[in-house]
Amino acid sequence: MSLQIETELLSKRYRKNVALSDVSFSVPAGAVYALVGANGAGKSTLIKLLMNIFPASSGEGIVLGTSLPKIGGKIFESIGYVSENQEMPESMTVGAFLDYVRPFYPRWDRHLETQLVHQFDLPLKRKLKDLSRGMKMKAVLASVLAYRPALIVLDEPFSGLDPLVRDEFIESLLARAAETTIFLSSHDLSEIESFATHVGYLEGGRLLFSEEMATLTARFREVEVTLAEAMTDSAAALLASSVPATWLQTQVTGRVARFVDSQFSAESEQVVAARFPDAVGISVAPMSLRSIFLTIAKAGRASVRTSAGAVA
Amino acid sequence: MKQALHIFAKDVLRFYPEILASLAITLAFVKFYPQTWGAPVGVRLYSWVPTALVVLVVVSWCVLIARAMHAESLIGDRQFWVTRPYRWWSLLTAKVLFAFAFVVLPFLAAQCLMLHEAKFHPFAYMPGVLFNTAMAVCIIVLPLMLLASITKNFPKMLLGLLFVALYGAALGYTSDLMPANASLSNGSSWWSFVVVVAVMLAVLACQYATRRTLVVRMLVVAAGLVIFGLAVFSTDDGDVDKLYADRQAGGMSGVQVMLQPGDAGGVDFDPDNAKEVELSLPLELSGIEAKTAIMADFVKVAIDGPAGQHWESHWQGTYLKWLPGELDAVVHLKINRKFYERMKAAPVRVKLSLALTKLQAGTVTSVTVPEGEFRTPGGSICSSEEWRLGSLSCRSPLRQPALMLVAARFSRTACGSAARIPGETAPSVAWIGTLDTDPAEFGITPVWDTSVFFQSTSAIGAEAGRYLCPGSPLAFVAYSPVERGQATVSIQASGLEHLTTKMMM
Repeated sequence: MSLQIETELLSKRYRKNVALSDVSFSVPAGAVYALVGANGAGKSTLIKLLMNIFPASSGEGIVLGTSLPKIGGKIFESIGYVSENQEMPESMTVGAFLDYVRPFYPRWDRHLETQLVHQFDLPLKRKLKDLSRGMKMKAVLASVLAYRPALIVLDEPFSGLDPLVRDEFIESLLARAAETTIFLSSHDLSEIESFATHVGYLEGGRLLFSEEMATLTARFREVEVTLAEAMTDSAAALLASSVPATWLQTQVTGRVARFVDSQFSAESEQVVAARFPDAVGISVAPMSLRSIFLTIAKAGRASVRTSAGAVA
Repeated sequence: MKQALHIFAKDVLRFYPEILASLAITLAFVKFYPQTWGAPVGVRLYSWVPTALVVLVVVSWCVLIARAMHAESLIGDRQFWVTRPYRWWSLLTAKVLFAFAFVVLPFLAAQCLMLHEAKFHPFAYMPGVLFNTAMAVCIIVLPLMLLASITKNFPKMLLGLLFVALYGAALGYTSDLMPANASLSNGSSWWSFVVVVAVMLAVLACQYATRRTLVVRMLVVAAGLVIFGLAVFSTDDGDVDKLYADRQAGGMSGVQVMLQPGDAGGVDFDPDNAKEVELSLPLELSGIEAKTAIMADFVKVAIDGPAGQHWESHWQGTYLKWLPGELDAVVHLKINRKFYERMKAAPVRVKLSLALTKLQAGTVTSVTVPEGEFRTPGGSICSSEEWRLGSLSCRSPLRQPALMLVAARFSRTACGSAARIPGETAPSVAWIGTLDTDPAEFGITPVWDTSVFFQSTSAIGAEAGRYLCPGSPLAFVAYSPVERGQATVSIQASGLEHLTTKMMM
């Protein structure tokens, strides 16, 4: 499968501040890649580097076969970029804006444009500055989807949108997911959980991991071990300090030990049983994306680095 | 080009109110500015309006350029167009096209209309009109576009203009602190101008191609500092020496210069200039051949004291002309004040050098002054209303005419006066025009409105004429440069303050 985005040790520094550090990842064609992380993690910076809005301090990257410094002009006929805080020509009406951008794209689909205008219920005669945030985002999205880009890049597209608009937004994206690659950033995990095929997690400018959603959710499990007898405090402390590095947030309360296994596999239960020989019960539960990320955020970050999938 | 035209069309639709306002201001300028031609200053009500319109025209250009260029701002990382398939050269072409269509073309049209209003046929002066337009592009439009390209919005651009104004003030102030120094308008200064324009173009293109604003701003600042350094610290002494090569020890073609101490000489202390004093030295020239005139363009002085003290000035600009038989003139030059204080009472040897141009008289055209306006040989249109005592009012297309000496006979009594005695006139002369050969002198208005003041050549004690009446003869003598050279005067004096007989404090 060809790669639509590929980076190698991409970094961005502002004098002494490191906004992004050695980010390496790839996005295969047809993927819906969600870049998640808290506010200030470096998501927008990474996207702006990918769009060559500003240059990287070091490292390399390729988007749609074009190296990052050469991104610009014609290549944007195949890239659709939508950001939550883009400066638009506010004095233009929606109709004038669509009329204006249309000739830039040889593959602009007038029929699709009409369809999107109806679908989003866009008021063509209203000025962009008079639109609500959600409506403005829909107008911009319509101006992007209408030329059927090979890659759609969305920077915090759902931020501040009401649930109805957000669903409309996601629906329209998913309707075109088969013919395009979508790369989006978000700090709200629940938004992307339902449709992302790949996920990357940025924190403090470092990409902690980047992999397929399926493998990520498959390898994280919440494990609860019921012991025959309650552990003493010293035994619990000893346990906590000697568990495998892939076990996160190990806690022992009375007769119950809980942890998150970040590398769960078929053999994991045997490993647990060996570690807790007096266990009377072991339960393993899958985790939501939100729970996985909360675990990662609370745990020591280095321990969750993994060789699975496309690696951070 | 298709994309450039598309962006241009968008800008036109988007900024038509600003475009219409700018065109209206330009039309008002064309309509009202001609009222100032030949009019006495301050006579009419709202006489400031035409002058204010000149400023408004430039301000409207500034607003138009800023609006169009900031529509696709090159600063920041949030502009929608940055992630659209814009080609930088198309964007730059669109903005250039906008400036051309709504700044340059209206300016061109305004010049033609004003020339027509001034009774000059615009097509006859098209090279000058195009030259003036090109100068406006280089001096106003291009710097404004460059400034707009490195600022995000109009307020920031105004801030940039403020910095430019401060830069200009600092340049002027620093230049004043430096020793007086002439600037020579010649081929090398044109090359410097071309280099500055080329650098501006390159920086503008670089900003559009890369959007590396910080780098481009640093380039602009660096270029500004280089220009500052060159303007303040460099001299044109070498160029003057080269252009006015001292071919013969005896001076230029037998022209002799002597110091002629008299009432006109002296020393002037300017309270605003603590570093220099101005010496006024009355000179006497001899050896001027018939049908020639001598023009002093630059002057410099070298002073040596008895104990090896030495001070030498740069070439300083002056503007003196001598006709045959016209002997005296006073040359003014600035010297170092400290050196003057040290040497004012000490024996000194002063070597005064003059850079001279010999002018050869050419065609003589005689005109009889009619009622109202009349055309002069240089292409100007002049008038001689009675209230213009001892002067003519002339307007010239795009530049001053070629250098001419005008000889006239002014009546001592008012033209319509019953007491006027025909023939009772006094001779006067005036120099008009310039040796500059450029097709135009840069200006927002293409018409140069000047007053020509005549100097009486009557015998000393005779009453000078003040009225140029219809029917009076006027003679225009064209002068052209035939030779350049230097003349020197060596003077021994018991002190700098004794160079002249009378001190002016």
